[in-house]
Amino acid sequence: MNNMEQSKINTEEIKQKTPESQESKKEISVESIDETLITEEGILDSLNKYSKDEFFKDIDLKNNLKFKEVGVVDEKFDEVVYGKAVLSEKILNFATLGLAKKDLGFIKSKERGLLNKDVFNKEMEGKEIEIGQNTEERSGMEKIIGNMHKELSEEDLGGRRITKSFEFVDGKIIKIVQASRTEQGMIDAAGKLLDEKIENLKKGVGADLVKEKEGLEKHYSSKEKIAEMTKYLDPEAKEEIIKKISQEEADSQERIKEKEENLKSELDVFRTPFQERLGKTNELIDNFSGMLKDTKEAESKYNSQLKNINSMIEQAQKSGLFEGSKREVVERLSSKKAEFEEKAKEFGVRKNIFEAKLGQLKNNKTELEKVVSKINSIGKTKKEITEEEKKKNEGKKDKREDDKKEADKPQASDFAEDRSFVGGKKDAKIEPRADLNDNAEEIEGVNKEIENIAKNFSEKEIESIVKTHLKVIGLSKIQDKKIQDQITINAIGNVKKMIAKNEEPMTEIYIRKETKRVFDALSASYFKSKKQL
Amino acid sequence: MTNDTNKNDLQKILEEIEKAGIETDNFLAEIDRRMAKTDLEYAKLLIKENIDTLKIAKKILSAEA
Repeated sequence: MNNMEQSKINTEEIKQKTPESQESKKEISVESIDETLITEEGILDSLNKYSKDEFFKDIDLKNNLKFKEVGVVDEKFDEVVYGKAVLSEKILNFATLGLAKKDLGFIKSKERGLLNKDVFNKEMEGKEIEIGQNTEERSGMEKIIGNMHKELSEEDLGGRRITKSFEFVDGKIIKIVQASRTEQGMIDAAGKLLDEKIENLKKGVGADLVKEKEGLEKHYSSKEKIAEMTKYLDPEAKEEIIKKISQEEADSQERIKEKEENLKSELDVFRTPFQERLGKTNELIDNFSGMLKDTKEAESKYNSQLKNINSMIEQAQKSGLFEGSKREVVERLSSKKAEFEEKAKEFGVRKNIFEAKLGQLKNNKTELEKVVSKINSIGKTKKEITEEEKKKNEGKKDKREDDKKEADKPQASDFAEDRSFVGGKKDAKIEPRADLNDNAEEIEGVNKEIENIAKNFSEKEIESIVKTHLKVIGLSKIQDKKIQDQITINAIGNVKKMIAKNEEPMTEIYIRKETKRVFDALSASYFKSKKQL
Repeated sequence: MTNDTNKNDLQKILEEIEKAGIETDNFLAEIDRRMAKTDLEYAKLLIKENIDTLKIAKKILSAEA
């Protein structure tokens, strides 16, 4: 058995041994897709049917505009409606060399030959012909309808399905034009209706409630002066006034309560679906962000493996192997390298997809938040809105602080070892990582640093940079001096090792990065045990 | 002997590379499955959005009628 055969067998073994996610396979099986498709189609079918039969049974959201035109058939576009000329008419046309076509009521069509404008093509009776978008006929028709229905927006008109049909009544051809909203047009129109309704609630019931609340606020602020105002009145009058004030207060509070309840029930109709949509959008953002993160991590690991192959090729080239063996090693590794490079593109493809979808979803999220915020602010006074904003910002601030604390905590995954192909040996100590590709910005930043300040650091300089950076990233948070020392020694040792391995001038940012990595890795268990306590 | 050792080393390295390649294929297949699942959820959201919009529109129009 030669080496290649052995390799093939091993590959099969690896394939069998590599755990595949049974969970996600189950979740996205063909059956479940079929099932979901059926459900989705069901939803769509019922949506279409329901919207036609139920939603708009009494309401004409389709808004079919229909009008008849008598004797205004357009020769240029409607020649299909004319009957074919009979033989005698053709001869007559021929006899006049075609010059009397107009007087005789004939027109020449490309596909149907000579036509007689006084004869109706019976095949066309009642047949609906759609006037397609982006045609001269369509734009002309939109102009006519637009002039007849000035209330229609350009968007609404452009999105309609416009058709024409013909009837022949009392010897005259009648053209019937219809312009109705499509399914999408109906949905768009419904969307506009919601916006209008929200706006109306804001200006009507909402503004009324705000006025009532502000009146009560003013009343409360003036109430303090009541003693001063009534000091010259007799006690009975005073008591009567106070009673009246209390009654008016109670009435106002009651009105506010009632208006708030009414407004809430009206607003909940919109708020609930918008909030649900916002929640679902956030869920999708989390999913795509997770996939993007995982892809970036896998790509980074993959790139470091690619680097290893490169370094092995270099090692082989520099080695003292016999030429034949050397060539074989280099050729085989180069072929693997080419495979790796090709596959590396796959990560980029997926990253682009995730980024595009995230961009889209984040825009949707912003829009949804705006709407929800608008709905939530209806019926609230400026004071109430300011107070809510303040609370919201405090909440955000707390969350940012929590996130920062969380981010500052060392991550065990940072310590994940890289596969080193060289000799298959793995150092028990921390191996310097070749990949610093945490994200594109960082790579760019790092590259800039490399260009500018790459240099050969002395041992003292390295120790100083490492120690300073350890202080910056929180070495003092570890109360155990032994662990502190261990981290410092390891960080210095690893940085030196990394520099020695690279054999090229190094930048300070690389040293800091490696320092943080060692710190995160070695302090992880310490912080974890502290947290458990 | 040296030649055999080198060949064994090379074989080992190639196997490691092969394994890394397969792991990557598995990762890509898995991420594609996750993507498909999330895309499906996304599509559902869009359909639901239309349904909600129409339902609310119906409520508004029915109340106004």
